[in-house]
Amino acid sequence: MPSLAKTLPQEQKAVLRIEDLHTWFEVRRMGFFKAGDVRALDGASFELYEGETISIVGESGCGKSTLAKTILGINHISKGSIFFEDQDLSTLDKEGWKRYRSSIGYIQQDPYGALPPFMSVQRILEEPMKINGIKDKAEQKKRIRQVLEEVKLAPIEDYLPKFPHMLSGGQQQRLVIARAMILDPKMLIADEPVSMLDASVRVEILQLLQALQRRHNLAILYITHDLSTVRYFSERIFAMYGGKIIEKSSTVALLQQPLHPYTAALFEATSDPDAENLTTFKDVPAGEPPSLMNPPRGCRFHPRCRKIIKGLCDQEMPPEFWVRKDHAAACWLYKDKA
Amino acid sequence: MSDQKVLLDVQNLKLYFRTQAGPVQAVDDVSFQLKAGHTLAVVGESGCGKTSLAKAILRLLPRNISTYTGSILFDGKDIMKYDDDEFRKEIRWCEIASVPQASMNSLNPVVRIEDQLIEPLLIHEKMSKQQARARVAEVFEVVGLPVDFLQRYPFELSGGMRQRAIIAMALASDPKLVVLDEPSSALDLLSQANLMNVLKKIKHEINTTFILITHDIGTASELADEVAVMYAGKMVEYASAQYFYTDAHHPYSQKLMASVPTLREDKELEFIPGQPPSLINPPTGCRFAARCEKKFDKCSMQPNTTHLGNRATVQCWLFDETGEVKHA
Amino acid sequence: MKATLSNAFRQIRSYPSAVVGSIIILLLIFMAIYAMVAIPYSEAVRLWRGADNVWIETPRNAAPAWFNYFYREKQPESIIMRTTDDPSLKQVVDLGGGVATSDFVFEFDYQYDGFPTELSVFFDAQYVAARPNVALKWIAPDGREIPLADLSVRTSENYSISQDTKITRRLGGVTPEKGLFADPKNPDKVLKGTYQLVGEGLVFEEGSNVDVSMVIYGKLYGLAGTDHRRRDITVALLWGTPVALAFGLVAAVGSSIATMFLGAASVWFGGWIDWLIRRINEVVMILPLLPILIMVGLFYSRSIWVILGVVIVLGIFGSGILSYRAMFLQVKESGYIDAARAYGAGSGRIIFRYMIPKIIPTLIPGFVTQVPAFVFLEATLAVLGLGDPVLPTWGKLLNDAQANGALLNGYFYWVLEPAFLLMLAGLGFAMLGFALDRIFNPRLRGI
Repeated sequence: MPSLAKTLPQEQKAVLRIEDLHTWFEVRRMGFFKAGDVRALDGASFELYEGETISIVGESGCGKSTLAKTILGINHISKGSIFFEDQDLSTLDKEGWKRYRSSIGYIQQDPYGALPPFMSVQRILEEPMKINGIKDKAEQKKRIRQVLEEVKLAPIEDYLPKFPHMLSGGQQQRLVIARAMILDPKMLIADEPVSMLDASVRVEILQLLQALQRRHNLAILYITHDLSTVRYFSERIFAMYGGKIIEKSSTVALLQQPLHPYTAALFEATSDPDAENLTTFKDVPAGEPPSLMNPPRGCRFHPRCRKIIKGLCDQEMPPEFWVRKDHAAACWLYKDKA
Repeated sequence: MSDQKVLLDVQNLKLYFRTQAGPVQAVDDVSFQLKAGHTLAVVGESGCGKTSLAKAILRLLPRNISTYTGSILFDGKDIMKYDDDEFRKEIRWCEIASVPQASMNSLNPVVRIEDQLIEPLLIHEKMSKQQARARVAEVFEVVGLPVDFLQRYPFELSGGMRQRAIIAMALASDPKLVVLDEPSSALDLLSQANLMNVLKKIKHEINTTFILITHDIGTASELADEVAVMYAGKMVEYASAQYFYTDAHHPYSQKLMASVPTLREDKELEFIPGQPPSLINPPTGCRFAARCEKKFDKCSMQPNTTHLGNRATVQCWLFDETGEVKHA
Repeated sequence: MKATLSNAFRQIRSYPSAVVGSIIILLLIFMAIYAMVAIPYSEAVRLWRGADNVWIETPRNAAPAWFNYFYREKQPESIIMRTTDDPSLKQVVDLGGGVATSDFVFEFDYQYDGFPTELSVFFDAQYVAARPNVALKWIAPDGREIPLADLSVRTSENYSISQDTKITRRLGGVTPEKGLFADPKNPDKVLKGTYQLVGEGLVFEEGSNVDVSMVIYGKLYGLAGTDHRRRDITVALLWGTPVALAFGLVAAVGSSIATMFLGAASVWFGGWIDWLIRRINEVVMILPLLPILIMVGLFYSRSIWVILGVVIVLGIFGSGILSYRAMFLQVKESGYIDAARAYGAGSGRIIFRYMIPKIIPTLIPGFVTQVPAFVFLEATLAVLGLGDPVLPTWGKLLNDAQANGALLNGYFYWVLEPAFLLMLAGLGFAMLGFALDRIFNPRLRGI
């Protein structure tokens, strides 16, 4: 694992382009009457380049998993568009969707839950191939062998007949990664891939993902609530709050100085093991993330923000202000610095 | 604080569970002393026995116990000699309170918070309703919750608030020791930081002794005066927090620290190849030996406990009382 | 799932209740197979309808034969003697001119303490115009000879000694089945010894022939006794087994599997499908099952298969759907379902390959414990007189017993035998089901 945080790639091809993406979930009363919308994802735009990792950080309910599931086609798109290799997903036919699905691998938080408990390792790996048109047995075998070798589940023959509950947490997560890799994807969406694993296994899995990324030039969307792992893993970091991306930055720039007060609070709240911590108190805002059904007017963070500009933050939604070439924040504090 | 008296003195504590495959040595020969007013963080990976240790101290045991031996001196009393009834009446809740894992979800959703919080006071402390209400209001302020929230139902509170309510409940009977099992791991980052602030405040103001069971060493460092590292049922290191994070002694502790990512500091992350041994028929010698880079022939025997001054107590053949590494 | 199941079956051995339950169920299955092999369906129906005098030689309301082990006074079983079985019993002497004597002697040893219930003689005569003539006489062990009757026999003649009032008169008012066997010194006791029924026959035509059989109806019969229509209860007990098992299993499996599919579809598709299924469920839940079945039985058909169909249809939309819905709602949120959607699995595949296999382990103990409920339901209907019109079942035995005052008359075996089998079936499935529940459930707490 390289000890220095990676830098932004230059002049690379975008694998995925997202424009003003919204995912709202309708809430119905008594099954019929519309009661409102949960604005889980409320406008996100960015590009993901070949071979890079974007970390998306935020607390639960900030919309980061909704973003992942919308990209994966699990959630519907309420507004906006997703372009995969410059093609709008809404224009894809059945074959196009198959190709798109084969190009993204999905890695989830809880490896045990992510694996059907009643299927053997072999069947788990065969399923995506069967569904996506790889019917040739020899080809299936070849790919299974290849991915299991890549995730270091060896000897392969020992693992094929096993069921998920016979594997340790780390092995389960490697199997999830193997499944994500079996269709030879161009990008991975890793939703909290290590947050349920023990510290030492965590490092092992992150290093494995990194090795895969380098070998296959994968684009990775790394979704996490844990700021401390992102520096080892990503070129860019996006912070999300209340369904919106509130800060976009290169990892280097963000680690030097988070701009948005919320990102700064996340930064402050993260503890590194240090005996000094015993004597200091954390300066973090009280309160809770906003309701996604009735989000506050203006900046979603303003009710908890100590640097609030009255009459502005509570009235108008801040746009993205690019303070530096590689660092933007959606916060009125930076309206003059852009 | 170092001149404080010892509140909890655990010697040779063993807790084995009966299973179909054989006895599981969840806690095997664990000894340590905890001073009043100090906080001990017990860290280790899942399945290392840290939660079982908490249960053994609180005597919250499942039915399939095969061995439960050793001595626990609490505040000078040998509480292992108490029968279950005495223990329940005189020790649990009143003297040693606990906040089990995920307990914020254990509040009854249809009973008001206040009614749930005064319950243990009415039973254990024989308080009147009036007294109990006053006391609960008092601790509610300690944990930083508005007193009028006592009249609410659990679902009207966020996760962080419910967890603080649970801690208030544990503090209400004014216990000498509070055992917290993963108190913050189900919470969001900011709520977690807020909760640690609250616990720290309680620690400083009320001088409560805590045992904090956690897998998150970063969070543990917010509260811990001492750190105990458990591995496969054994307490392999018991160290002063002052030295532990930068200068752990046991090879496992060193590896564990090397695997913890840090936000503010750039460091090379390492992982420990292999898996911890099964707690059914664990290896006879040092349980970490199979994964240890510094293993040598003596490691096939169970290492002695070595006291390295006030810095640490280590179960590893690499150390003797002078603290020198005899083998490289 | 294969692993879960094979693991479960390995665990069964460590649960005594499961072992006992399995043995009981295997026993019942063996009984069912035996019944179907030994007495084919059409034969069972024919026997139970009692056509063609199939039960003419069995006693009425006889207790099981093995009751004698518990009686101090030994009761008789039927004694049947036929000239067709043993031609040496018959002596034919040709007198010339087509006339011949055809005598027979049925000699038997009577060592029981109880009197028989009936005495009958059956003749099977061949002749063209002139009927053969037979004179019957009774010889008691003490040598007394009692003339019985002088008969001119037809092709199929049935002479019931016990209903012959002339003999009753001759015996001084005592019914023949008592009088003929009574000890003259102690008329309440049986005179034990060798009795003879002697017949002196005359045939009047060339080729004319008389075959005779004598039936002394006992008080005990077979393994299970007989009913009011002389039918062997064993037939109904045996055939009740496959009927009960088939009804119980088909109803339990049919309704739980269909319910499971509906539950899965309801959860997966949501929207109006979920709405519709839930409304139908609510309607069905308030419909009382038993009265509906009674109405179907009264006004439409009492066929067991029609009733089974109604039970399944009502069961499908019954309360089970709610618990399956609850389980599937959890399963739907599983990470592996999201993963399957991400790699493009369609709805059908997700329901059948991903959601249902997860639930199957809970289904198994569920339907094993449901089987007896349906077995009892069938019995209930039969007891109420709505049993299948042709098939012999346990419930119909109970219905017959009740209609004929079995308990008032002391024919308790008639009630206890089917009741015992019903309870055995209930016990077997319940014991296995509860053990399976314990085996499968620890794993299910994890979902």
